[in-house]
Amino acid sequence: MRKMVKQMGFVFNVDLCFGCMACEIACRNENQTDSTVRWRKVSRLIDDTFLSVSCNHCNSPECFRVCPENAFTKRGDGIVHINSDLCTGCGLCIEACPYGAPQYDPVTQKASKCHMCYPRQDRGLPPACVESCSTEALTFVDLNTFCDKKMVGTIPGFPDTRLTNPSIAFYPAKERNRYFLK
Amino acid sequence: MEIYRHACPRNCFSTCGMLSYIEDGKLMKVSGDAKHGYNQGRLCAKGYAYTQYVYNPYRLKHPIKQTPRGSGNWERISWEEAYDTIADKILELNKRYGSNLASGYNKFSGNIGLLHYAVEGMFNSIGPHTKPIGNPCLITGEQAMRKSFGQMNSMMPEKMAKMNAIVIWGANPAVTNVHQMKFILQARQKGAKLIVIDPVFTRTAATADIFIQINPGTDGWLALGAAKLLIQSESYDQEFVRNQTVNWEEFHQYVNEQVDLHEVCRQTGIALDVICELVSIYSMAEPCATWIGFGIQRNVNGGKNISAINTLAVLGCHSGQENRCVYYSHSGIDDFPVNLLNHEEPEHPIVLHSREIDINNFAENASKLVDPPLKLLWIALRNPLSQDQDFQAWESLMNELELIVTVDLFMTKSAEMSDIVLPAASHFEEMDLNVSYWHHWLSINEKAIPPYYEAKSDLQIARELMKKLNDRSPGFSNFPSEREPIDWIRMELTPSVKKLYSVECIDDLLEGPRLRTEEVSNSSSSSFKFRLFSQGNKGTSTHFINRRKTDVEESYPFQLLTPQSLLKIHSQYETMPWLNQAAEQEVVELSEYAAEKNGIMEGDKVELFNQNGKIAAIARISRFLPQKVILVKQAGKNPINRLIVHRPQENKEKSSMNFYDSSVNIRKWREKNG
Amino acid sequence: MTSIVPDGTFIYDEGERPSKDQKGMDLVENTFFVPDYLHDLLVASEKGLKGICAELASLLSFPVIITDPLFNQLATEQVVNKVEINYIDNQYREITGDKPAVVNCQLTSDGVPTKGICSAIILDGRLRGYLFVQIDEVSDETIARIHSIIAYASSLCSLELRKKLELKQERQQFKEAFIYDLLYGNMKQKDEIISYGNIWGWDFTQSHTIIVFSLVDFDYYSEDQKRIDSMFFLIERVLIESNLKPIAMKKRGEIVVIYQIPGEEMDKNEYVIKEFIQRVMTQAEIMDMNTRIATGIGRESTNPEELYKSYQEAKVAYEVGLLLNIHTPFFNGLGLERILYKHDLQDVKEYYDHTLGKLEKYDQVHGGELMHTLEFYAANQYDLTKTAEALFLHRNTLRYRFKKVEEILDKKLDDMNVRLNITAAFKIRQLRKI
Repeated sequence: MRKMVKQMGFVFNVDLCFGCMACEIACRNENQTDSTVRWRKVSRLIDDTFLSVSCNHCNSPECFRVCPENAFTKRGDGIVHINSDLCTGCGLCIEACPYGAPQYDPVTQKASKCHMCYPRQDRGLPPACVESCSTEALTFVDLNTFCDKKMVGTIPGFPDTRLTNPSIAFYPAKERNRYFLK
Repeated sequence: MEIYRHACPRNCFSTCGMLSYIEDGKLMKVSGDAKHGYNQGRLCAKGYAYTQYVYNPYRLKHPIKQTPRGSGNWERISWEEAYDTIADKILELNKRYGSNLASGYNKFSGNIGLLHYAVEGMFNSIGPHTKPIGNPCLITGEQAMRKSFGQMNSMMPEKMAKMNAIVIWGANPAVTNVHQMKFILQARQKGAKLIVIDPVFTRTAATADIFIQINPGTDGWLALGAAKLLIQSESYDQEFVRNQTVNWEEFHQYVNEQVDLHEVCRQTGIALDVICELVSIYSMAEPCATWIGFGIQRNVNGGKNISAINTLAVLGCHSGQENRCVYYSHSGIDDFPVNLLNHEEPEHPIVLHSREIDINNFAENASKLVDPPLKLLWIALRNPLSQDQDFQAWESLMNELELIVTVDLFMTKSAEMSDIVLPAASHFEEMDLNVSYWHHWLSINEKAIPPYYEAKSDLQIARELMKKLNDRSPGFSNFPSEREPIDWIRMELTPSVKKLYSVECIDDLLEGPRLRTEEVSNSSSSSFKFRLFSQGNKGTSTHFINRRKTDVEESYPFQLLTPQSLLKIHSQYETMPWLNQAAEQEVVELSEYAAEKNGIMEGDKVELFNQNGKIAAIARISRFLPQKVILVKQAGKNPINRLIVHRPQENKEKSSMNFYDSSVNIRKWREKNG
Repeated sequence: MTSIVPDGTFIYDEGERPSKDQKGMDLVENTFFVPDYLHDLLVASEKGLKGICAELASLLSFPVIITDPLFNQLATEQVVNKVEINYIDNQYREITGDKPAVVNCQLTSDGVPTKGICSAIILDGRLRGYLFVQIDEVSDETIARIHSIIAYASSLCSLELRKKLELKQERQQFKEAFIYDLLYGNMKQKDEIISYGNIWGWDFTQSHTIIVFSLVDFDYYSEDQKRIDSMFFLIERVLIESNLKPIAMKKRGEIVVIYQIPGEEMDKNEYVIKEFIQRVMTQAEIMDMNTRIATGIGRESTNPEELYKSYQEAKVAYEVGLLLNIHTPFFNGLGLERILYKHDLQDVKEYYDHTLGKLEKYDQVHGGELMHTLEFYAANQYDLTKTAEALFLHRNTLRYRFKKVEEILDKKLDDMNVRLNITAAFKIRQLRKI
């Protein structure tokens, strides 16, 4: 039996992301997902900042709670994993997740989602999205032990975190001067 | 799983080191090459989509032939037949006109690997022919840089991370050079200020500490205004001015007498206190990088703008040689013999030279050719019917051509108008050698997988086609068809290249990319004296050409800017589903002013028009766009370049394409309009 | 016999002392002599704190006491009467190095004050306990002579505590992993769960239920992490006091307790759980945390492999409890809310719009208070008098308003079915589904 209970989670530094989408496509490259399936999504937030979100491997995953087939497990390292053998493609998890993490795959007719590249992590590699981030705006840590006073639990534009307690933390953006033409 | 080493060959600053993961001869995934010091194990979004590029359902599999041209009536043919048809035509034209001048090509930067100069090598090998010259992209700026600094080699871009301030003029690395952003943001994390000057509120501008929006094409005004303030406050580097410049007196007088700060503010649209903020950055005693984007020189004042920015950059910053860093581009290729490009033509008894046409006006000039006219056109590594301007000229040129051959991986706009289309190999299917026009790394590109169906590399096509010609007519071409790709690469690694990149043989490059040794500032470069901005030839008092208010421009009041989009390079990558999530419609961005003036609402279907034509698009209203600027991304199904016409510059020097000098108007779409 | 001087250097008996003529550091002559008693102490430490305590006491012929930081006695030797610790000079307020000083203290032996000396047991810069030696009527010189040996013994104690701590952490981690797997249903075999549970003395043949305690508005990047630690400690203590072997784990912002159900009768079980929670809250009040602690209780489960359901239920009960202001929300006790909370969001929204949408719009346009009034009416069981009292309004005003409501909704408010729908719609809003 393994010893440590971890909660691996993403840390997103708003200041360092400029929306290059490398993380999103690196995820597809690694997992060869169908073109309609977006395990990770880069979106534009207010104030012309960007947000890159995948499954947040929540502390209280809604997907886990609503799945009638009990197809989700939360691994000891905190990764929420869907067992596609058990998934019937009913779509309840897709509706329940506040972050749009589970995606319906029209090819397999099942839900699939980010598994934080655990096969890579098991080999000591970072998730593909983290590896691809050239400015290290996206990193990952064990949130059970990692703590930095400058981090915050949420940022404007991120869905309500109360329900699921997502394993993601943020560094907010710094202030900037902008001089537009009159 | 086997792993091979590659270099991304796209026309992009980064020329990334890349690894491919191969299982049973199939490309499973790609990753960045961690041994490459510039991209450091990462790729961009486009790079990560390469599996979809290689195994794309739209990729061309076989040689095909279309009769008649443009009909869409395609027929698969064998390589043999393709070669025969082309060889027949070349030989017949040669017989008809007594030389190969009726045969020509239009090729540019679809793949910037050194072995892709096989196209030039192939045409050189048949003696005098018709070839494009010039560079639509960055040559105006290159000339301005050489004039200022006497050379083209900038500091390693990695060193931007150590700067205390970075001023970016009209570049948008967040979209066009994503790997540079980490060095910029590293500097910023350590407290450096990032300043972006751009007419458009770009993604790079959004990350900047200070964004200064400027009227398009007026960067020179801003630089001279700032220089004037710098001189007035005596915060410029006086020792440098005394010892290292050639025309200080002239410049000083010019700035004193001719640069009026009110006029600077009026032209640029920037308030004086904002210019002062810029001056305070440039007068800091710490290292400061200036980066001049290619966009700066896409207008008629391009060269002058760059010269003015260079001047500001070296005046401030207490420069010295070390801190004087103006980034524009790095001509890494100058170190190499580029044997294919410079392949020596066999002599022709009568015709002494090949015929040269300015690539920026290729179609118009080519259709004017006589004795002989251009009859065969070989299009490779380029999609002129999407990328060029002036499509009308292309249409009339095509009517004159007897054979059009296009080599490409996809059915491009240009391929659609060709007689024969040959399937090209991707860089995973061929060997190559790559340097960058930005960073200082040299990489080898290995062949990792067999060619997709019948695809071939440009070099392979050259070898086979030239052999075919020589079989028919011995001695017609002097192309060394027996030479393998690896031989060509070996020939590029001359003793001086090996020394410069510390390699002994090709195997060293298979171990990982190599960095060019920084030149210790040798005597020749330190003896060079900087040339400050000068207003040009005596007598011509025009310093900057203003956008003239002619009748034509009254009716087309908006300036058209056409930047690159994030997930494409021109029309490349258009067919990759990962990169094109939503069924994308052409989008035109317009200011709130323009929208209000023309009664256009967000999401309306609009048409953009001028004397050259019109395109339809969906309106997106931007509160950040200058009033009189309209912005459309490049390429697409209905390429925006339809509306752009190149105005040849008055001097006869080579110049880049003035893509950003076009005027347009916009109105709501009408179903029935004439 | 070797004795010790306060500065910690050894003083040898004449016979053993190296001759003054051989001053040089000659390794052959000047052997590094380790006195027997140090060796004895070290060997005694094999037997833990008790061993050290006994050996030191026999060595000094004084009573020795080892305590935790709160003076709870962990080991004693040669103590005749009950000894209490009264005060210590210099309460070790500033612990700097790992080397503790030895200070005087006052003890009470069977009500009679006596003198003592004491050394703090320090581990990783934190105070872990004290070592006391009870001395009576001893000269200062003697005290000075035994300083060093006490300091040495105290260091041995800290090493011993480290071993214990590591062992505890180790066990705790395995334990956490096991509880974690129970909470997320990662263990599917009942037998396996039961046998693992036995390691820590937990009986999973019995029914259990999940109780969640959570710190409201938990801020990971603040002192809250420490608050969770002390709450965890507190809950474990309350469990032990109730004669239960604690099965609990800390998670981010919450503590999850797997609570063994005492019997078959549900009412009684509920009572026992309520009492347990009340005890925890009372304790938390002392620490000024009770206002921020909320709780939720899942349903009992006889199958340990299905405890994860109870955990999810506990969380729902917790959330709903917070939203509806229920003090001790049992999942079982939730009525309509339970269904509404889980129900498809879109459907729930449509239902709400269908029931109250028109009224909400009317209020928005006219700036009215009809929704507010109706909500009070529903909350007061549709009793006009009670509602009037609650709102400080005249009954006629209310009557007028409800007539307006009936007009807008085109429904009769005395219809039971209409009332049910309105009540449900307000609950939906309370649950922040809208």
